[in-house]
Amino acid sequence: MGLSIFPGIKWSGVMGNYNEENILVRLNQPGSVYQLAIFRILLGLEIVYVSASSIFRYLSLVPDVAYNTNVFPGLINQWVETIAISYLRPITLILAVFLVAGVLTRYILPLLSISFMLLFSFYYSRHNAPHPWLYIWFPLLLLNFTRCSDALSLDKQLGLIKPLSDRSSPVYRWPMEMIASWMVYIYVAAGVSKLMPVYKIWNWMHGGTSQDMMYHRFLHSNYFYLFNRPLFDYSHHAWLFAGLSMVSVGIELFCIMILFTRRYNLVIFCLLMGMHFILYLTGVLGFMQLALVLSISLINPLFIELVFKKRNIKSIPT
Amino acid sequence: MSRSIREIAFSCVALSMLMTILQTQQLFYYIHTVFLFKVFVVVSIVVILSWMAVMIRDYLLKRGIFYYVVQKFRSSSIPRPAKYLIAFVFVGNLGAISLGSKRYPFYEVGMYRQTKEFKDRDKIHAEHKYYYWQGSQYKIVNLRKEASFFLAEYFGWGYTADMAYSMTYFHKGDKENFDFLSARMKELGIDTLWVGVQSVNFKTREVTFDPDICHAITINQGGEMYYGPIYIPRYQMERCDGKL
Repeated sequence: MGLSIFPGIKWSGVMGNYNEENILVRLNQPGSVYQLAIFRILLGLEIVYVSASSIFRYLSLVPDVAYNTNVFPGLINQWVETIAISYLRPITLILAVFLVAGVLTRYILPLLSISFMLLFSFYYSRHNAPHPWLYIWFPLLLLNFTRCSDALSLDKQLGLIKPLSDRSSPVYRWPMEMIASWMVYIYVAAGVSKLMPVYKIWNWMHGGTSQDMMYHRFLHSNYFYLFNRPLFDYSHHAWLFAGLSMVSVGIELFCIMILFTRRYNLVIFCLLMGMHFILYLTGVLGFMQLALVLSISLINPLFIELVFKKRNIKSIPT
Repeated sequence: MSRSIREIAFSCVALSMLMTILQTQQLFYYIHTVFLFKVFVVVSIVVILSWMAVMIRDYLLKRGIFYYVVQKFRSSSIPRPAKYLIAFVFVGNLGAISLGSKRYPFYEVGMYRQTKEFKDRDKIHAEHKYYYWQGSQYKIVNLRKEASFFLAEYFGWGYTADMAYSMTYFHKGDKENFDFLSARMKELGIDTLWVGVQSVNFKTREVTFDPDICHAITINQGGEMYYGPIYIPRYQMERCDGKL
């Protein structure tokens, strides 16, 4: 057995304990102030990353081919497209940096939520593909109702907020459970959309979609950039692609287990990362980064508390 | 089998049938022309109505999963405004998934929902790529590679994966796309970009690149390219005038 970098920690408890608890029960259980704070920081960094993209400049140059719709009135869309877009990007970027630092979080979050929603409504109207930023808005809105700056924030350091004395209060738990359920929505809906209407199941299971994608995208895939040649003949071996298709849908649908128990969280995390890594290699636009950020919600809060407790004990001078 | 599992299974069947009906385009055409589909729709309506009746009855009798979920959620420690937000988002996304449609910010996560058949494909697949000459060597600009932090050569921070995807596929036929790329390459001291053809032979697993600019034009005009033809700059077209 190898040495653990965190001696005394039971690794089976990192992402799942063995009590069968559904998500509704878990909402009222002890959480971790640090888990929520880490999530806030990582979500902020993800927003910095997506809003720093040059794609906004690019999309304003190329023709609009997406014709997507959104829930906002036409007046707002017009205002965003013609006037606000040039301001929204820097504003979102700066507010996201503030969120990462945890400065004036209570005031920053509503503003960031609005600017983010409007900025990406412009993006969405011109870009038709399932992208990571489509799944950021809800966690961001949710943070508005949480005490996400009670730890690891300048708000706390500067005494601008008064954190709860109980670092394991359920107040820190429910947001993480809601984010876990958001993750369930993303993957289960992705699985369902491949299989619905039901007569499409056969088409998807046949593997033609996966094979077509790997065949056509090989010359623009990371696998090609790394190894310069295909792994095997992609125009052949249909059974293999059928198998891959079934496995991918199986993984996506299996995520629903997060709602019923924490037992499979580690397995689900590993399967998702494996799936995203294969997609990354084959040239499919996945969202591993966002999956990693959302996966913070799969970690057992007790584990995070334990890690920070040990760190705090070490930092006390002897 | 416990009651909860039976309830979940029944809900899954009923919802699948509901989604199938809601997501079938030209529903009435198929009902009129395909007898089996008509039977399916009739059975589905019976199943869906039964499911709804059972759910409502159970809720009124204060039992069942639906009642349990609603009560647990209402009694949870989540602040009231957040509860309303969560319920609103849940309903919005459930609607999007059921209808198989999207309206930002509600989304059905329809990745690859349009299935494709794959048959009788050639062993050789070709793609157009931009390249430039560095001395007597050609250098290929692999646009999607640029989104990878470790592999990028020409674009830096801000060139995200979605952008690489757009430039490679969605907008590859647009002059504006070429102008954007060209401007960046000029910043790096690369004045002229050409279009060549890269091919992979899946049988031999070999990849080759043909820098012949006129051949690239011929393929662009004739072949069925993935995501359509690429934009070829005017100077390349002029160079090949009379040679095609």
